[in-house]
Amino acid sequence: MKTKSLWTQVPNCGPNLTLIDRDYSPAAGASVWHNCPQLALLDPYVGWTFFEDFLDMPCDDTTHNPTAWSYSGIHPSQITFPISLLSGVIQLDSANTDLDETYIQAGHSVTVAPFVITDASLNPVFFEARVRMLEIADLGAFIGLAEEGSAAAGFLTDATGVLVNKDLIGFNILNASPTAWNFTYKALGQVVYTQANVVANDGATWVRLGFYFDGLHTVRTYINGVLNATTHLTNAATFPTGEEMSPIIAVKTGEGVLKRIQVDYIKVVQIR
Amino acid sequence: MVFADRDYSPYTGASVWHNCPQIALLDPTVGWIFYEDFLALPCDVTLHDPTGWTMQTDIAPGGGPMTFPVSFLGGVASVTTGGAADNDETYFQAGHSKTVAPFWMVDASARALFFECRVMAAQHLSNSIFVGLAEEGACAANFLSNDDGVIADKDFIGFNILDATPAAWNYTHRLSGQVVVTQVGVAVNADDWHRFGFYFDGLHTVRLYIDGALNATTYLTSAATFPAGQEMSPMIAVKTGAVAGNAKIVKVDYFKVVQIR
Repeated sequence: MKTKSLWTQVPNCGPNLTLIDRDYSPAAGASVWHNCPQLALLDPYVGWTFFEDFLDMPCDDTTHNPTAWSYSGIHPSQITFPISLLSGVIQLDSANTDLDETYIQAGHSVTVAPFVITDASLNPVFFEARVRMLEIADLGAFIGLAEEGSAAAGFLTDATGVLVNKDLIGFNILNASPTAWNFTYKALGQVVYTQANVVANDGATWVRLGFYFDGLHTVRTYINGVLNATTHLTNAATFPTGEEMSPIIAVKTGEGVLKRIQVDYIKVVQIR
Repeated sequence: MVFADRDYSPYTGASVWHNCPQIALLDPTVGWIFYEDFLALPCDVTLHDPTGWTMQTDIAPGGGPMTFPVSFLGGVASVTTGGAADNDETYFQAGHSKTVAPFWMVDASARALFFECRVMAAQHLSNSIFVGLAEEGACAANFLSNDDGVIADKDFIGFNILDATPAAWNYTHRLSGQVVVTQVGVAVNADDWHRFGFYFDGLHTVRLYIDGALNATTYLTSAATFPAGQEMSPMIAVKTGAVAGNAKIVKVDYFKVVQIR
């Protein structure tokens, strides 16, 4: 047996027990999930877990769009599940006309927004997505949480990829710097915050993009399992504190060339 | 063994899940788990109704008998009767087909069963509600009787509200053809959230957990009125009573049902 217990001293929250495998699990501290009381979450009253692994996503017979997600796009067949990739991967294509865009947001209804990061709430939130782009030029992309109804035309601005004026938090790529993933958040009506280039987009490599809200005042990001040195305060005016949000995937082309984002999984946990 | 979080988990004994071998259930041969948190429920792209649940409603197609309100965190299904007419009703039962009924409690079977849902009635006037397990095909017109909300002659176990006592949540079970058993007023319906659970120990006894607290009354699965050995599926039901006036709504945060194989 190679299973062992791992105690993680979670910043501001005390010790957390995780069961890990000596061979298969990330090293101690090298995962946002080492902070998460996942064993306790087997009791649904402790919190709620959104986990989409894209293994058998329900889709409409005609449009082939996901039936549990809101969709915004302009062409059929912009959402596929490539056979050449293991573990369940969704691919969103922008289509190949300049400014074509495709967005999907969890929740069939545009009113679904089950997650909120509220300053000093004692309700931690954990997020991680495994993702990659297949292109590295003139594109906009976003993966993270955004307010309900964000999956709509123009969520990413034409030619720049700048995020529309919505509550959101996550990771994005801008047209002007398409080889860089940024961490970003915004409260509706406030200026957008961006920590530029938290990891490179090379058009091929998978990256794990995560963040963790401790339930008090601080959000920490995990890039490929590594804790980023920069922290973010949820009581900042620019932070979308108290705003209800839902997982979203977005891609947009800035030229007449197809752009593609692939997502292996999205997992979001909130403590009740 | 249960792993609990010192800050976030219910106190020791204050959860039906403290009885459940949830770690062992990571092996699917141990049992099966139904867990619907309504975070991202697959719905028909045209009518917007859940595709994984059977539906019965008086609402016109596309009228939204189940919606997902933005103002509720954690994924909440809002099931409504829709119209204001007397005896309007909406029912959902897990399983696209009316033959789906994956759970049962068999006396002395050694197959324990665990149930919990978090639910809120949005009104407490002239409405009837049921949340629990019911036999396959129970999701049909008049599962709740006109004007009184009495549950149809089906196999079922769960929690209900009757028209005559809309401020009281009751525990109830029935074996089809037998008289209904009811424990009146296990919780007050003040249009607030409640956690309703029960636990069958695999031998002869069902115990209730109301808002995490063990209820003193127990029920024998060997009783003639208990739906022992009857296959059932999770169900949500709401009906407007004799006093018409507005739509009646029940909100469900989650359903979790576990059965040991």
